[in-house]
Amino acid sequence: MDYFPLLPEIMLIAMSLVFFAATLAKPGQALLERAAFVLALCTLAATWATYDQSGLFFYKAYRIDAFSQTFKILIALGLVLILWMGAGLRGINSWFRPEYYMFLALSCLGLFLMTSAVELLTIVISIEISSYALFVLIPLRRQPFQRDPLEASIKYFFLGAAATGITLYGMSYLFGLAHSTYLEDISVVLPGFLATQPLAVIGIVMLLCGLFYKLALFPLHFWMPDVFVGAAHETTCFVATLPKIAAMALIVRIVAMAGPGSHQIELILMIMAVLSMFVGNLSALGQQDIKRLLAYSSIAHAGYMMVGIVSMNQLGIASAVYYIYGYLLMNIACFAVIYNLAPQGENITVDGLRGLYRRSPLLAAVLAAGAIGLSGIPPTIGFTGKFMIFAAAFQKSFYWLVGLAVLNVCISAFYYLRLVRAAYSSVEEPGERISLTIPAAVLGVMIMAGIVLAGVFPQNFFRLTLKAVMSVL
Amino acid sequence: MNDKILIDYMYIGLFFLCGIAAAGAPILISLLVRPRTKISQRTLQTYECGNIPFGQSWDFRHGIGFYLYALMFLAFEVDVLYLYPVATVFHKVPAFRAVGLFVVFLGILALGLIYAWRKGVFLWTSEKKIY
Repeated sequence: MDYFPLLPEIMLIAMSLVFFAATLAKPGQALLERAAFVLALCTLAATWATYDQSGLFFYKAYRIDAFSQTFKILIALGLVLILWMGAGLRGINSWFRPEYYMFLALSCLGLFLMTSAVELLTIVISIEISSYALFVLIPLRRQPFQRDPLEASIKYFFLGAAATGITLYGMSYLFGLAHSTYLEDISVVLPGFLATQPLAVIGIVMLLCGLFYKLALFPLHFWMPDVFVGAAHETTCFVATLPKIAAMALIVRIVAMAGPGSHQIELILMIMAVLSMFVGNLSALGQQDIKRLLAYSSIAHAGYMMVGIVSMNQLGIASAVYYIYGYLLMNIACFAVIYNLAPQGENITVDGLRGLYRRSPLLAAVLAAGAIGLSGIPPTIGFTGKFMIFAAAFQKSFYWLVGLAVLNVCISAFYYLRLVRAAYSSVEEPGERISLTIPAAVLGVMIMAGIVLAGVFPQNFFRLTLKAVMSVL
Repeated sequence: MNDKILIDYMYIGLFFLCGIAAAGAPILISLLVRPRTKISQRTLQTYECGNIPFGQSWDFRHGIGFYLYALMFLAFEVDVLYLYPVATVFHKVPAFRAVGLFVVFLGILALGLIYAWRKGVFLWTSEKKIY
């Protein structure tokens, strides 16, 4: 059997083993950091090299195709950018830095498995691998902030356990109906059951619950604000972006399996999307802590992505994938600013941003690019992504859904622009200048360029996502 | 046919002897290498730790550090559970491959033990430097 298509996974396993050895030997921080960055780059290269591979592995439970490989590229890219952004790991307890890298690699491995899993039990195990690593990552914050991370981790853990329980229960329904745990076999009989058996609808929705938890969609979003506030900035940036990418891959696979004709599932997903947008945006309006604000905005963004998936056509899902790429970039922009503003790893309030444009013009510009992108103002990737998602929903004549989504975009503009206004408002004493390291400055410029260029010239990337989506729909 | 059964029983006998040897060897070795002690009244107490027992068990709070031992124990307890299905399909694959997979599985579990060892989980609380 040819194992070459599994190269990215093997790379990540190697990375976690290397850092396991590092936990025993305790090398210096500079060496660790370089090793982590190089290994993450190798993983990215491996995903790129296996892009046009395909095949079924491990008794047909694991599927490599253009769809999974596109998502793996996104996740590996996110890992590289997050490691780059969190250079120095200033927010992490210095005892646990090798462990931190090891669990990052393991969590990424779980996310990789999620994008390729096409069998129910494999899906559960992959979700658990990525979640368990995160439960351990969250409390590893540095000394003066030890209580909140523990609370956040426990909340994350218990809600995760509940979500997995619901997922397994839904799977038992599907297994009872289809007598198989392979998505391929289930998809043959499922459309018939969806038309006649309410049990199938309940089963699918319960199965999706575990993924809604990862995506932080409305009924399972409670963990998000606490985890954001509790975890260190580097960890938060990881939790905010990468699990969502993998969760979306699986949601698309499962929704594609259910068949694009099921009106009940469509309706349920739409209601969740709308509630998620409203809960997220309205709660974000009153927040002072920037990370809490970004957490609620993240819940709202899960709603926008769901609008794209609910369309269940190629344009909708391809634009949702495109949008999640933009979401990754915009979030890293915001977290890069927070990370560089807080040398001790403390949380920042909106007022703490005042006079940022005088303390560091570059950081202010990066924050503006991120916030304007998240609020969906042209010429950023946030605008193009939202536009295409809403266009896809419009094609399917979900007029009220698009109307409510646009209303939400307007609400969200208020709090995103509040960040920009705070960063550019003049104050008497702006505080001392922030000196950025050269890699941090390069990252800031790159992310800004990425947000704008990918928004103005979406076609190349969009072609990639469309090709990926065509292999599942 | 009869020969085959006989050989099978010989195998069983061989493994029986190996089992007894594996169980008896530690007792025998420790008997040979341990320092000699005088057996007194105190040695024969139910729980013998060098101190005279006092109070009742519910008067004390036990060190929470013990939960780490419990976790390590649990990891290896559960792994026995997973070894059983391996044993049931052992004859279906080539022996070297089966043993190789076995070693990989146990090796990954052993990594957890090495980690705990290195982090000083098995030291007494007062000796712990790193955690």
